Amino acid sequence: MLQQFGAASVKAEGQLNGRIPLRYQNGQLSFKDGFLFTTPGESGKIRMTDTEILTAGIPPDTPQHVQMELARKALEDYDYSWAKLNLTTEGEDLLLKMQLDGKPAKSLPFVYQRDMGGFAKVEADVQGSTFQGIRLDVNFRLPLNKIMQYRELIQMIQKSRE
Amino acid sequence: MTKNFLILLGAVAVLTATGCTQHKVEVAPVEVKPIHITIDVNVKVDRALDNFFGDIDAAKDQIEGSSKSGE
Repeated sequence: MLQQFGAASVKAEGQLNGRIPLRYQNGQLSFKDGFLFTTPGESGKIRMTDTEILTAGIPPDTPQHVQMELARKALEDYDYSWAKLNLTTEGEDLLLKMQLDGKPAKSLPFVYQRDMGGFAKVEADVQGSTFQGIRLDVNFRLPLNKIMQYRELIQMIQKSRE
Repeated sequence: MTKNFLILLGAVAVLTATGCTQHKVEVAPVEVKPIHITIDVNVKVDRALDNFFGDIDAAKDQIEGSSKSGE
Protein backbone atom coordinates (compact mmCIF):
# COMPACT_ATOMS: atom_id res chain seq x y z
CA MET A 1 0.00 0.00 0.00
CA LEU A 2 2.82 2.38 0.94
CA GLN A 3 4.48 1.42 -2.32
CA GLN A 4 1.34 2.34 -4.27
CA PHE A 5 1.27 5.74 -2.61
CA GLY A 6 4.92 6.34 -3.51
CA ALA A 7 5.94 6.52 0.14
CA ALA A 8 8.33 3.55 0.28
CA SER A 9 9.26 0.15 -1.16
CA VAL A 10 8.06 -2.57 1.17
CA LYS A 11 8.57 -6.32 1.42
CA ALA A 12 6.80 -8.06 4.28
CA GLU A 13 6.09 -11.54 5.51
CA GLY A 14 3.00 -12.27 7.54
CA GLN A 15 -0.77 -12.09 7.45
CA LEU A 16 -2.94 -9.00 7.65
CA ASN A 17 -6.59 -8.93 8.61
CA GLY A 18 -9.08 -6.10 8.51
CA ARG A 19 -11.44 -3.99 6.46
CA ILE A 20 -10.87 -1.09 4.10
CA PRO A 21 -14.11 0.66 3.06
CA LEU A 22 -13.39 2.46 -0.20
CA ARG A 23 -15.43 5.10 -1.96
CA TYR A 24 -14.91 6.27 -5.52
CA GLN A 25 -16.98 9.27 -6.43
CA ASN A 26 -16.44 11.93 -9.10
CA GLY A 27 -13.02 10.51 -9.81
CA GLN A 28 -11.99 10.87 -6.19
CA LEU A 29 -10.94 7.93 -4.02
CA SER A 30 -11.59 8.05 -0.28
CA PHE A 31 -11.25 5.71 2.69
CA LYS A 32 -13.45 5.59 5.75
CA ASP A 33 -11.96 4.15 8.94
CA GLY A 34 -10.08 1.36 7.21
CA PHE A 35 -7.87 -0.85 9.31
CA LEU A 36 -5.52 -3.77 8.96
CA PHE A 37 -3.77 -5.69 11.72
CA THR A 38 -1.51 -8.69 11.95
CA THR A 39 -2.84 -11.96 13.31
CA PRO A 40 -2.45 -11.91 17.12
CA GLY A 41 0.42 -14.09 18.26
CA GLU A 42 1.97 -14.27 14.79
CA SER A 43 5.11 -12.25 14.31
CA GLY A 44 6.72 -11.45 10.98
CA LYS A 45 9.27 -9.48 9.07
CA ILE A 46 9.24 -6.12 7.30
CA ARG A 47 11.88 -4.81 4.93
CA MET A 48 11.28 -1.22 3.95
CA THR A 49 13.55 0.66 1.56
CA ASP A 50 13.36 3.91 -0.44
CA THR A 51 12.16 5.65 2.71
CA GLU A 52 13.81 9.00 1.91
CA ILE A 53 10.37 10.54 2.44
CA LEU A 54 10.97 10.16 6.20
CA THR A 55 14.00 12.45 6.21
CA ALA A 56 12.89 14.80 3.42
CA GLY A 57 12.98 18.40 4.53
CA ILE A 58 14.78 17.73 7.81
CA PRO A 59 18.15 19.51 8.00
CA PRO A 60 21.03 17.02 8.27
CA ASP A 61 23.18 17.04 11.44
CA THR A 62 20.14 17.70 13.61
CA PRO A 63 18.92 15.31 16.35
CA GLN A 64 15.61 14.91 14.48
CA HIS A 65 17.44 13.81 11.33
CA VAL A 66 19.47 11.23 13.29
CA GLN A 67 16.28 9.89 14.88
CA MET A 68 14.65 9.51 11.47
CA GLU A 69 17.80 7.82 10.17
CA LEU A 70 17.56 5.40 13.08
CA ALA A 71 13.93 4.63 12.24
CA ARG A 72 14.81 4.17 8.56
CA LYS A 73 17.67 1.80 9.41
CA ALA A 74 15.42 -0.15 11.78
CA LEU A 75 12.77 -0.57 9.07
CA GLU A 76 15.29 -1.93 6.56
CA ASP A 77 15.18 -5.26 8.43
CA TYR A 78 12.58 -5.28 11.19
CA ASP A 79 11.07 -8.19 13.09
CA TYR A 80 7.59 -7.19 14.24
CA SER A 81 5.57 -8.78 17.01
CA TRP A 82 2.45 -6.93 15.84
CA ALA A 83 1.52 -4.27 13.29
CA LYS A 84 -1.55 -2.11 12.72
CA LEU A 85 -2.52 0.15 9.87
CA ASN A 86 -5.35 2.68 9.90
CA LEU A 87 -6.57 4.49 6.79
CA THR A 88 -9.03 7.30 6.64
CA THR A 89 -9.63 10.29 4.40
CA GLU A 90 -9.72 13.76 5.89
CA GLY A 91 -10.61 16.47 3.40
CA GLU A 92 -8.35 15.93 0.41
CA ASP A 93 -5.76 14.01 2.40
CA LEU A 94 -5.38 10.36 3.21
CA LEU A 95 -4.28 9.79 6.82
CA LEU A 96 -2.30 6.60 7.05
CA LYS A 97 -1.32 5.61 10.56
CA MET A 98 1.16 2.77 10.82
CA GLN A 99 1.96 1.24 14.20
CA LEU A 100 4.68 -1.34 14.58
CA ASP A 101 6.01 -3.11 17.62
CA GLY A 102 9.14 -5.21 17.39
CA LYS A 103 12.86 -4.82 17.02
CA PRO A 104 15.52 -4.52 14.33
CA ALA A 105 16.85 -7.89 13.17
CA LYS A 106 20.45 -6.69 13.47
CA SER A 107 22.34 -4.19 15.60
CA LEU A 108 22.15 -0.64 14.25
CA PRO A 109 25.04 1.81 13.75
CA PHE A 110 23.82 4.18 16.46
CA VAL A 111 24.85 4.76 20.07
CA TYR A 112 23.07 6.61 22.82
CA GLN A 113 24.88 9.75 23.97
CA ARG A 114 23.87 10.78 27.43
CA ASP A 115 25.23 14.33 27.12
CA MET A 116 23.05 15.16 24.11
CA GLY A 117 20.15 13.01 25.27
CA GLY A 118 19.79 11.21 21.96
CA PHE A 119 21.33 8.82 19.49
CA ALA A 120 24.36 9.50 17.33
CA LYS A 121 25.40 7.65 14.20
CA VAL A 122 28.69 5.77 14.41
CA GLU A 123 31.27 5.03 11.74
CA ALA A 124 31.09 1.75 9.85
CA ASP A 125 34.00 0.17 11.77
CA VAL A 126 32.54 1.05 15.20
CA GLN A 127 30.12 -1.37 16.79
CA GLY A 128 26.61 0.03 17.16
CA SER A 129 23.83 -0.94 19.55
CA THR A 130 21.46 -3.85 19.89
CA PHE A 131 17.94 -2.54 20.37
CA GLN A 132 15.78 -4.66 22.66
CA GLY A 133 12.70 -3.14 21.10
CA ILE A 134 11.57 -0.25 18.92
CA ARG A 135 7.93 0.76 18.86
CA LEU A 136 7.27 2.84 15.75
CA ASP A 137 4.31 5.08 15.03
CA VAL A 138 4.43 6.60 11.56
CA ASN A 139 1.63 9.00 10.61
CA PHE A 140 1.46 9.83 6.91
CA ARG A 141 -0.70 12.62 5.52
CA LEU A 142 -0.84 12.22 1.75
CA PRO A 143 -2.77 14.12 -0.93
CA LEU A 144 -3.77 10.75 -2.37
CA ASN A 145 -5.86 11.84 -5.34
CA LYS A 146 -3.25 14.34 -6.50
CA ILE A 147 -0.50 11.74 -6.19
CA MET A 148 -2.53 9.23 -8.21
CA GLN A 149 -3.40 11.88 -10.79
CA TYR A 150 0.25 12.83 -11.28
CA ARG A 151 1.37 9.21 -11.32
CA GLU A 152 -1.10 8.55 -14.14
CA LEU A 153 0.17 11.59 -16.04
CA ILE A 154 3.80 10.60 -15.55
CA GLN A 155 3.02 7.05 -16.69
CA MET A 156 1.23 8.44 -19.76
CA ILE A 157 4.26 10.60 -20.60
CA GLN A 158 6.60 7.63 -20.09
CA LYS A 159 4.45 5.38 -22.33
CA SER A 160 4.26 8.01 -25.07
CA ARG A 161 8.07 8.16 -25.11
CA GLU A 162 8.43 4.38 -25.49
CA MET B 1 74.43 -18.73 46.78
CA THR B 2 72.18 -16.02 48.22
CA LYS B 3 72.72 -13.95 45.06
CA ASN B 4 71.65 -16.87 42.81
CA PHE B 5 68.65 -17.48 44.99
CA LEU B 6 67.64 -13.83 44.74
CA ILE B 7 67.99 -13.90 40.91
CA LEU B 8 65.84 -17.05 40.77
CA LEU B 9 63.28 -15.48 43.08
CA GLY B 10 63.19 -12.35 40.90
CA ALA B 11 62.68 -14.43 37.74
CA VAL B 12 59.85 -16.36 39.38
CA ALA B 13 58.28 -13.09 40.52
CA VAL B 14 58.48 -11.65 36.98
CA LEU B 15 56.94 -14.78 35.45
CA THR B 16 54.19 -14.80 38.07
CA ALA B 17 53.47 -11.12 37.43
CA THR B 18 53.32 -11.78 33.66
CA GLY B 19 50.79 -14.50 34.31
CA CYS B 20 48.67 -12.12 36.31
CA THR B 21 48.53 -9.44 33.62
CA GLN B 22 46.74 -11.61 31.08
CA HIS B 23 43.47 -9.92 30.23
CA LYS B 24 40.55 -11.15 28.23
CA VAL B 25 38.65 -8.37 26.51
CA GLU B 26 35.23 -9.13 25.10
CA VAL B 27 33.46 -6.43 23.10
CA ALA B 28 29.72 -6.93 23.13
CA PRO B 29 27.30 -4.52 21.45
CA VAL B 30 25.59 -2.10 23.78
CA GLU B 31 22.04 -3.13 24.62
CA VAL B 32 19.48 -0.35 24.34
CA LYS B 33 16.23 -0.66 26.27
CA PRO B 34 12.93 -0.49 24.35
CA ILE B 35 12.28 2.90 22.79
CA HIS B 36 9.26 4.53 21.15
CA ILE B 37 9.57 6.66 18.02
CA THR B 38 6.72 8.71 16.55
CA ILE B 39 7.09 10.14 13.06
CA ASP B 40 4.69 12.53 11.34
CA VAL B 41 5.08 12.76 7.57
CA ASN B 42 3.13 15.42 5.70
CA VAL B 43 3.36 15.10 1.93
CA LYS B 44 2.41 18.18 -0.08
CA VAL B 45 2.29 18.53 -3.82
CA ASP B 46 4.17 21.62 -4.86
CA ARG B 47 2.08 24.47 -6.27
CA ALA B 48 4.58 24.90 -9.13
CA LEU B 49 3.99 21.27 -10.09
CA ASP B 50 0.23 21.98 -9.98
CA ASN B 51 0.72 24.85 -12.41
CA PHE B 52 3.00 22.76 -14.62
CA PHE B 53 0.39 20.06 -15.03
CA GLY B 54 -2.33 22.71 -15.16
CA ASP B 55 -0.92 23.80 -18.53
CA ILE B 56 -1.13 20.23 -19.80
CA ASP B 57 -4.69 19.88 -18.50
CA ALA B 58 -5.69 23.18 -20.15
CA ALA B 59 -4.16 22.06 -23.46
CA LYS B 60 -5.97 18.72 -23.16
CA ASP B 61 -9.31 20.48 -22.51
CA GLN B 62 -8.69 22.75 -25.50
CA ILE B 63 -7.99 19.79 -27.79
CA GLU B 64 -11.06 17.91 -26.53
CA GLY B 65 -13.19 21.05 -26.90
CA SER B 66 -12.07 21.71 -30.46
CA SER B 67 -12.54 18.05 -31.48
CA LYS B 68 -16.11 18.11 -30.09
CA SER B 69 -16.97 21.32 -31.91
CA GLY B 70 -15.57 19.81 -35.13
CA GLU B 71 -17.90 16.79 -34.83
